[in-house]
Amino acid sequence: MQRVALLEVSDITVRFGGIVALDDLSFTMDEGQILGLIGPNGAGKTTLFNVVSRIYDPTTGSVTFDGEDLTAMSAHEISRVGVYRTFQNLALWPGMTVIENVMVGDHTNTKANVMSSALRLPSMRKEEADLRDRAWAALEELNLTDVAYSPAAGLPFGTLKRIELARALIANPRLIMLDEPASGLTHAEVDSLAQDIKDLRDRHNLTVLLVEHHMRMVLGISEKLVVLNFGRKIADGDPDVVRNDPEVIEAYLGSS
Amino acid sequence: MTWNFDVLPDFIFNGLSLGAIYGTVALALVLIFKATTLINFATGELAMLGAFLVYVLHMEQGLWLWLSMLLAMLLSAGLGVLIERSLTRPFDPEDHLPVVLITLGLFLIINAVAGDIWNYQVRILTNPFGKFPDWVPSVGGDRFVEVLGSRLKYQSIGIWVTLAVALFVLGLILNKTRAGLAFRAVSSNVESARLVGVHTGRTLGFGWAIASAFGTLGAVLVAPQLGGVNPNMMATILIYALAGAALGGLDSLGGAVLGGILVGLIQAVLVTWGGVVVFGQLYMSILQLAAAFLIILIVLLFRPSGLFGTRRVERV
Amino acid sequence: MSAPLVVVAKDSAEHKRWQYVQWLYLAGFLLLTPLVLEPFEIGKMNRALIMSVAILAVNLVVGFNGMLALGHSAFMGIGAFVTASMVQDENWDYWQVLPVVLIVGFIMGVVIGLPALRVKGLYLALVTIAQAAVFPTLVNIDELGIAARTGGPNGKGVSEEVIAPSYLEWLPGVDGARGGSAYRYWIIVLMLGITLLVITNYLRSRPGRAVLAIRDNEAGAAVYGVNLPVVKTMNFAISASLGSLAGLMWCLDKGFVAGQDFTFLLAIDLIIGLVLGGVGTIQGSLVGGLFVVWVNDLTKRISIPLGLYTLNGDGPLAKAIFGLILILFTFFAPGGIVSLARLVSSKLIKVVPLTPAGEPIEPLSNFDPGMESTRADAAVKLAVVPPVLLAIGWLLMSVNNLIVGVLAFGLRMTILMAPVAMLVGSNELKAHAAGNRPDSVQGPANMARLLGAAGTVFVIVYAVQRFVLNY
Repeated sequence: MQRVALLEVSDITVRFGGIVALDDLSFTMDEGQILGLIGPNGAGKTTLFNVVSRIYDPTTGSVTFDGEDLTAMSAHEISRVGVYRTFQNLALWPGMTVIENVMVGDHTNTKANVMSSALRLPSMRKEEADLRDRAWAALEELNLTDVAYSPAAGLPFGTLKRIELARALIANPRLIMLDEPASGLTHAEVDSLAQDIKDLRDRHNLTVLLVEHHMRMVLGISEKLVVLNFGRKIADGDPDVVRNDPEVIEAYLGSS
Repeated sequence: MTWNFDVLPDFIFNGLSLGAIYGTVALALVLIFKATTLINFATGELAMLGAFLVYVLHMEQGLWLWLSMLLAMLLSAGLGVLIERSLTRPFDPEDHLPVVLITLGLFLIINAVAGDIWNYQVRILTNPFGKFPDWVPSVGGDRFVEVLGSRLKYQSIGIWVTLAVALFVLGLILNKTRAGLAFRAVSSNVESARLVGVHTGRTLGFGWAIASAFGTLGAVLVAPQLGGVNPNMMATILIYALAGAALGGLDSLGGAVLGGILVGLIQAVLVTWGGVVVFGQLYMSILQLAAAFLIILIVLLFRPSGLFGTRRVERV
Repeated sequence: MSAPLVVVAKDSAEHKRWQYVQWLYLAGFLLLTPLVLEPFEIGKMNRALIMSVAILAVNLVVGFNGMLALGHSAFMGIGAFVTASMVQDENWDYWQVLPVVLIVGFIMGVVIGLPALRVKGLYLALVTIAQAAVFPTLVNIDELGIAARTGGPNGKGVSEEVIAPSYLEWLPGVDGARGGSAYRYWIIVLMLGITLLVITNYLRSRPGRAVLAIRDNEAGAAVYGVNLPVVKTMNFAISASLGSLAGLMWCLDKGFVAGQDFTFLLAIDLIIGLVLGGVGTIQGSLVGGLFVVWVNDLTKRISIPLGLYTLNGDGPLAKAIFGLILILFTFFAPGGIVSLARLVSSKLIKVVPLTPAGEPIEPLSNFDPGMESTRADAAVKLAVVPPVLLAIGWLLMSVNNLIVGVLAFGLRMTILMAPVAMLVGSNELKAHAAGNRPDSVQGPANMARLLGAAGTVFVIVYAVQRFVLNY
């Protein structure tokens, strides 16, 4: 059966003044795939994330998700089509408890407004109770229930990374973009994270776009690799083929 | 009611000299904003304190006026450094609330202390440009010259010349001294400046110092227009200066001066002179302040980075 | 950190008992105010509660959304002038003006908030500070009938006094000399109560969490679907609406409004109340209102004896003290009084949250110090504190009429101490029954329970006695 591309990045160029952060980048992702996006520091990986999540405007090019043009949307609309991301340096809300953080994760699919909340109308109460249960379930899935009611501020880095994952999961995402989920984790944590990502993909029918420096993990779970160097795509395809590509080896080990 | 074009030049001259003063205070605001992205709400009160220093040195101690001004500017620069070092440096400049609270606290304390020492009555301070000096040939009177059938006051000319000299000196400091270079580096990018070894804290202190000196200059220049110095003298000036800074662009030094001058012109020409036709002269002082508020709103609506601001304004 | 003295599961019988006691004390405090205080002091309390509403409004923007709004005096002014004009000129009832004031405030909030909140940075601070400076001059404009409505420089009085209708004369304090201010007190308490309820509901639900998310991390909030300018502007407009409500309450209480009541200095008072009470906490707004009015009042009275310069009885001392408070709190207690109180209460009691299945999220025994516990002894000491404090408060009241402060202080401390002692006592007895404590714990635990109960009862009896004496 012919698989249809879910995410299509075509001819994306991003310039900041004279610097070209992304140079005519194109690739596609199939539904249910785990795609590893790798490249040396400064290759433009996070820039791509910021383009897809509409924090940056691309200079040229377009990003299509399931037939919808993401570049025509604004940042807060991206979640409506089911695209979510985590952040390299975390973007949690430290002033709230962990469970509240996860509850905001489903902001897009919940409806309570100022009026119904201020008056605690029955519809809002029902939604709130349901949301709380689902947030708890998401925390349970990532083994976070013991910190559910702690403030997000001051928890260990590894825990915070899992909270970000739980926050993205509660919204039933279709595409989830993980920005260096393994950074700052111990060896054991990295292995369990890799397993978690695979399991979550299977259980929730996710498509995962993964940026990661931890090569063993990327090669272990990716079904497709895209390699960037200085904003340009230098290789694309099956991980076992790409890892032996001379240009890729050169980019990682340096020329000459 | 008819438009009386004969008096228009009067209003323009008046607006330009008021505007130059707003520009001076706006410059004090922008000097601190540029380096720290903070609005220093104590700017006006520091300037008022500087004007009182001139009052003490010149009126009470009998020092020569210009020497008193120079001393007062140096002293308030020192006070600025002291405040930066002791009160604002411990806080993360990215977190606006604490530092704004500190400057609000300073605003209250300085005003209260000045109020307790000098009471809240207006005290006369010699006008540095009251009369032409003797060596100027008389062309119409000893306080003004006739231009376009209107009186161009010596006061206005004096303010412009002073501002021009001060700007020239500021330009020299920023472009020719190490501290000025460091300041420009810090205000364009704190992180990179730190990486190349600029002592950012000391540099911000330098920014506070020049800002306080400029504020003092503005306060001394404005005092004759208000009949003298008093602890609340800078309250409305600060609002006009804020409008000027917003109009010029919060991160542009030249923009601050030009923005301040424009606000002065708008206030004098559009509101006072033009407004005579629309409302009635009596109520113009009311609308003048409202004009400052409207300028800020309009700038935000149509050009948030101001006329000369270079910072890319992030839409959220 | 030492372990908390009492550990209870959320919604357990003990936790509920603890909450009932708190409510009881709050009710006592609310009842005592109109019964014990002199009319002019009730007026001060009214002012404090009105300030609390306005501080809560500022808090919504500054504390919960992380945006700097420094001009809420103007929103208060708009609310106050609309009220005065409608009640005096159009003979409306206050209750009829209420929705109008809320809507007018909301619209003003959108008009001012939208341009400023569209862009990142300190622009809201810039606009709001100008708004506060301009507002007092605007009410003097003669054209468009503005000055006629606002009374211009003379201010506007409402000639009809707010007095209790006959069917509400049973309200505590609403009789005889202090009837008027006491009746207004009850109206203000009712409005404040509803405001607190509505705002708490708002903040603890989907829209409120979005507001907090923006404060904590804007980029994160946007990725999760929060429309930043819309949510910020909505929140600012709600805040402006609430500020206008405080203006309505001001007019209702004073019966007179003037432009010079709503200057930049009032806006700064609100910021000070916010910082003093606690930025980003609802209780902080309440405490802040009480303290701002109290400090203002205190400094006015000691300025002349200290030989400080005063102008219209309003000297520079209050400003200097407020300025100092701002700086000191920013340095040493950025969380305000509430964070200090929370620090104390976290040492006294810990409420363990529940899982959806209704089990404590952590077993309570995790917090149990075991056989070597000295809690029973500590509780005995605690139990002695409330009656002593209350006695001191009583003594002070007879020599000084800083009743508001003493009452607030004494009662707040008492709320914490006596019931805690009682709870610790019974907890220790329970632990003994389960075999987790030596027999020697029994004596002090029994004593703590007894003394704690006595302290609680003592306060209640005191309240009832004042009630009966004055009613």
